[in-house]
Amino acid sequence: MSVNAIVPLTNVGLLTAAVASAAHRPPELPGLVVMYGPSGYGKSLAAAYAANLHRAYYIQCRESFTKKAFVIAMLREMGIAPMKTLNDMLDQVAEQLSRSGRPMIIDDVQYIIEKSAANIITDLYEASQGTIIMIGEEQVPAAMSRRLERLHNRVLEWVPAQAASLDDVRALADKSYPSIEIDDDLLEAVNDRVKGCLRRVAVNLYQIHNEATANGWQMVGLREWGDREIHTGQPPARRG
Amino acid sequence: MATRKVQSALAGDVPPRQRIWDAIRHQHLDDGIITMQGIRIALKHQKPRLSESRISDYLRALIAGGFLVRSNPDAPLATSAIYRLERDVGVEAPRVRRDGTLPPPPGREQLWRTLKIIGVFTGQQLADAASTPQVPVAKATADEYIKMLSRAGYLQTVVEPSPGVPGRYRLVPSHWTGPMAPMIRRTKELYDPNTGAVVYRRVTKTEGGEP
Repeated sequence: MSVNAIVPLTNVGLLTAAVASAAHRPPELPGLVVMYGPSGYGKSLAAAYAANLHRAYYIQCRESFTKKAFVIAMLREMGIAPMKTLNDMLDQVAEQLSRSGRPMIIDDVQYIIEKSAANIITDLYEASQGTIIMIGEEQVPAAMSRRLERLHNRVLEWVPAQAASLDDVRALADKSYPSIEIDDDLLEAVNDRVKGCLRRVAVNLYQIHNEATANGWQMVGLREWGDREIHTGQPPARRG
Repeated sequence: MATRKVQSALAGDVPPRQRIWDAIRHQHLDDGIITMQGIRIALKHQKPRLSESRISDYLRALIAGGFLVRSNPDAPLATSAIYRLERDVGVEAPRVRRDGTLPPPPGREQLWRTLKIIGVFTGQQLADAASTPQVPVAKATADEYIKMLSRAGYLQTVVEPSPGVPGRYRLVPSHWTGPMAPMIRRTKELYDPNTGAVVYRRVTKTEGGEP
């Protein structure tokens, strides 16, 4: 049975370190962590690891969240039967957060950051003084300073998600397809073309693996790959 | 703080320690005096019945872990013991060993948490994402869990597995029933403690037809 080694990805390490310092902060320091970056950078993977490490509660925001729906989603994640009013429910969440000491991860905050539901996060933080981790896209810090100034002031660490490095791509390739050897020059070419988007790197690795299996290659480099396509997610240009 | 008390309890088919913990917290929020008698009364009408030793074992573990403290240690013999809740860690009953230490969370809990977070995954990817240094999750464990969850209709197959190509799966959002991880029982059935229902049962054929 193979026991798993954890793939050491940059963004996983960054978020883990930030959550650890927030969870073990001295009481006078604020307890909010914000990770932001483009979609496909492996933020959710980082969230999963941090969540498992700290047994964090995890909420994924939806465009349709009202204040009430947001709080009910939190209670559902905690497994607590909701009380009647929004105010009571918010107290239930806050009480559980501060008593249990478990952090709460709020993913895809860009969906609610411009809406009234976002004020729930401020209320929750004020009432619980818990550790709250917000994860969202690039515009989140700007939207927070514009709309949620009080919350913005309580951020302990800002964690910009990093584009994949060659080491990340290498780690992913070795982990996902140990049977073939992919040369650094090809990995670098892929990473350049997709601009460090980990999700698209994964798609390309999958295609490289398929092509290698079909052709019986043990090793693939830029030379073997030739002018085969590298998937960038862009629709193909029209040909005249 | 307001005097209004917030009373929360976990939903679903909770483990026995959770029922004892609920009874303890109830007394804690009520007048702060916790007694064996009070716990017994709170659990009186609940089924299945918990044995006396089960309750006292858990109390002993809570004391060893520093959650519960005897508040009349010098009382004469034959006086009933009174406890107070020293560390109220919220609605969730601490999983505490007899010696007061806390075991690492089960791998199943990590799988269940992870599959909601990461979207589409293969068995290997799920195992990787669910692993922590304390609790590594093997691919075989993830594969088995995926198999049972798909058969119960909790997972949707995005790519059918075929030779050389691992299957890819996704959680059906409406089937995230709650925070307690569905568990595979020894009889190869999948039990969901959030709803209290057996959601999948492997059909075993009896040789020579059903009697």
